[in-house]
Amino acid sequence: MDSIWLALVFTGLVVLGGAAIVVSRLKLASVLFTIHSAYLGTVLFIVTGDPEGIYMHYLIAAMFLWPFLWVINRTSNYEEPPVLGAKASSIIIVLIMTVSNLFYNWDPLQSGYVSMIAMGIYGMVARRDIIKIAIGFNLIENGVHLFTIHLVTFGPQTPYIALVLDSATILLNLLVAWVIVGIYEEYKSLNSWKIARLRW
Amino acid sequence: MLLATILPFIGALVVVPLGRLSRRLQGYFAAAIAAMTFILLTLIGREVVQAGEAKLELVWINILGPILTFRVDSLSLLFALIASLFGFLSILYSVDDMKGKAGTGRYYALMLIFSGSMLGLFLAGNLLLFFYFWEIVGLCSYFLIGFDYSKESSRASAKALLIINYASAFLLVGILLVYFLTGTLQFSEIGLRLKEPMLAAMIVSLFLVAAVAKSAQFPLHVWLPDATVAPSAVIAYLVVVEAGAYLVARSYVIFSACLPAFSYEFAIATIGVVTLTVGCMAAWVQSDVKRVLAFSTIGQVGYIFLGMGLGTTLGVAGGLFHFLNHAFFKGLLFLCAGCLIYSTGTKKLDQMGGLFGRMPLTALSMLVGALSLAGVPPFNGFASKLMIYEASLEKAMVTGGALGGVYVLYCILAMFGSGVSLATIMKVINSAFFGQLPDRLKTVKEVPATMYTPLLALSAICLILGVAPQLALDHFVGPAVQVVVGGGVKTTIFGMVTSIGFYEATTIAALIFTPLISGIAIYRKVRVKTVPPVEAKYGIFVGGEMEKPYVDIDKVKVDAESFTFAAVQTFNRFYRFMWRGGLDRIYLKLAENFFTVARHIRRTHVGVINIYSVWVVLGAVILMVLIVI
Repeated sequence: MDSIWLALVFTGLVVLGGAAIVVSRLKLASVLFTIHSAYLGTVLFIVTGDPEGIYMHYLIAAMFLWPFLWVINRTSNYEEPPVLGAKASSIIIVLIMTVSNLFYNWDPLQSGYVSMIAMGIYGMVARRDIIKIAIGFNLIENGVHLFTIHLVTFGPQTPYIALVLDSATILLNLLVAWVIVGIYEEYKSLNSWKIARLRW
Repeated sequence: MLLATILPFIGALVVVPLGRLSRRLQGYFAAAIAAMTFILLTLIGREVVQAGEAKLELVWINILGPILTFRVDSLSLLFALIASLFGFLSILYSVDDMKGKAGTGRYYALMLIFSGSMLGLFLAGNLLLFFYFWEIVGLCSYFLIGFDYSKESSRASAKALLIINYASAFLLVGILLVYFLTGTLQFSEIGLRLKEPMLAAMIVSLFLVAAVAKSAQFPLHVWLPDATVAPSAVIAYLVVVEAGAYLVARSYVIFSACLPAFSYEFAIATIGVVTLTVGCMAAWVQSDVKRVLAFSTIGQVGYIFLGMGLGTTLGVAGGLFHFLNHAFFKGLLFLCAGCLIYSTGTKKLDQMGGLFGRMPLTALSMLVGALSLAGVPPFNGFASKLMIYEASLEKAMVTGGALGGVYVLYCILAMFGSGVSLATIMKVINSAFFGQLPDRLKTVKEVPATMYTPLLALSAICLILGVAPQLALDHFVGPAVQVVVGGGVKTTIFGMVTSIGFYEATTIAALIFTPLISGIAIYRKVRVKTVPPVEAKYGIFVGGEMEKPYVDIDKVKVDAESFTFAAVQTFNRFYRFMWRGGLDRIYLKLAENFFTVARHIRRTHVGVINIYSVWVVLGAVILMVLIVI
């Protein structure tokens, strides 16, 4: 595939992921993340011709969307106030994308996964809403998947590791959705700072 | 083979939603899955008998070699068969026992995962897979002990988890050492590649710590008595399937080529003897029926360790045979105790009595289990204990000198433990089934069929194995002993022969049962109907005072405590130490110090996910810096 196309594809991925982190409406963020994940599956299929990636990522997308929409319908569509607001977040995410591209000399694949992992970590650090934290976590996982695809050149078995990671993520998403509802019922809040009472 | 391991896990996923249809159906479905696993395992067993071994290797990630290796030999088959059979029996028993309780879906799913991982543990062909399943078993026992979320059970489950998992860390270190030294984790290759006897001894000692904790051996036995708050089927399953004993036997097989046998064996035997003495004596004075059985389990597993620790063919055969027998009689006793608790609603022996007429099947089953436990001929416990006594005497003769004397002492202590077991179990039987029936229990009935069917099946097995131990020795224990130490036990048509003597179990059983049965028959035939006993008309004579305010029959009856009064007086130092908290005091002191340190570390745990994420990022940065340096 032409390198310009590749760059566009990965930029699309990163932008979708970043948008899922920044947007404050939770339903929209979930849908954006779902599109991101399904998109990643399609890209992996086109680039590597490996059908496992597409299956797993569509599954991740589906498994993310329905339990989380179910959770959001039971809780609230509005995000808890984040540590850093939308403007600051947008700036940081653009910064992450630029720095990673500069660092990897505009290589779309490498800067793509580094940006995704970094944005995921940013989401986990700077957002208070548990659903946003879950999105951040999933974004990290998608980045790691892309990283393992990058590693294929070093070890032919790496797609299997990605496969296991993905299966674990699917199960984890279901579990997290279930736990979030429980937390909401107990504390009537999804603010991770307020539910810090959940200590043993 | 893979199917046998995976089936319970699939069943666990299916069993939870079934609860919406019917809770009873849930139980029967789980039991059916367990039964299918058992059948699959018997099919594997046929293959093992024909070919000597069954093997399955799946390559997952090639760099690490074949990770999913399953290998079944006679040793794993013996343990796996017991695990799957008891998985089935305890789930079947739970169908009525769990009736009306909350969270049955969780219970059956956990029970299936528990039995599946137990099977995986025994069928695993390499240490990594073994460790995975070992940990899943530990986690399942944690969840099952704390099943009802009460404060008591939460404490007990946390205690079990902490003790077993800290000990499992030793196992993990051992496994890492094995990989570091040999570059492989396959059972079949480790022994060939490890040449250093001292290193092998070190690894095996690390394994031994994990085995001691898992099998509730002294000094890490303290979790088991508390764990009896779990449902009866869980605790029965937990105590009969001795993963620790399997680990010890398996390490003999793995490291047979390179182990300096003496010190390791002596350590196991010593742990066994100390445990059996402590366990049996502690069981003697308990008044809670489940705690009696828990302490006596600790004692009986001590016998298994003693047998294994002797390291001779006869010793290992005795140990493995006692494992088999213990599984049957202790499973039976725990299920009987569960029936008692189910019917009477109390665990206290002092509050029971006179239940023989009300629960005859439970009573007879418990009697069979009790006599087996105490090692009374011709029940199965006697055969295996006899082998262990003889093995220790044989070892004493072979070793000679002061050490020989030590082995003679071990034999005497084992016999003493057996005597104490008999006293203990007579106390239980008398307190529960004989004497005056309290008014509160006048309405008690026999338990439902799903509960007594496992009891009858287990009693029959105990009796059959006692009358004809040669059957088990030839078909199950013998081949397993062949795997562990080579050689086997000589059996005859009616019993077995050892280097010290012989035990004609079938003949002895015939000699005991023929007069007994004919005596009963004659008695029933010729007995003369006498006048009804006086106490039926006037009540028991208690010194002339018949009215309630003067004499309370509950106060004058022989309670459980009076059975052990003399014992407590004689060994009062031991019991005083035990009642003051025993080893728990030392562990609590340790825990206190640990908490003092942990209190400082705890400040970093603020409960906010964002902060934790920062820690993760910081950790990653530090790691990267270290890698770069």
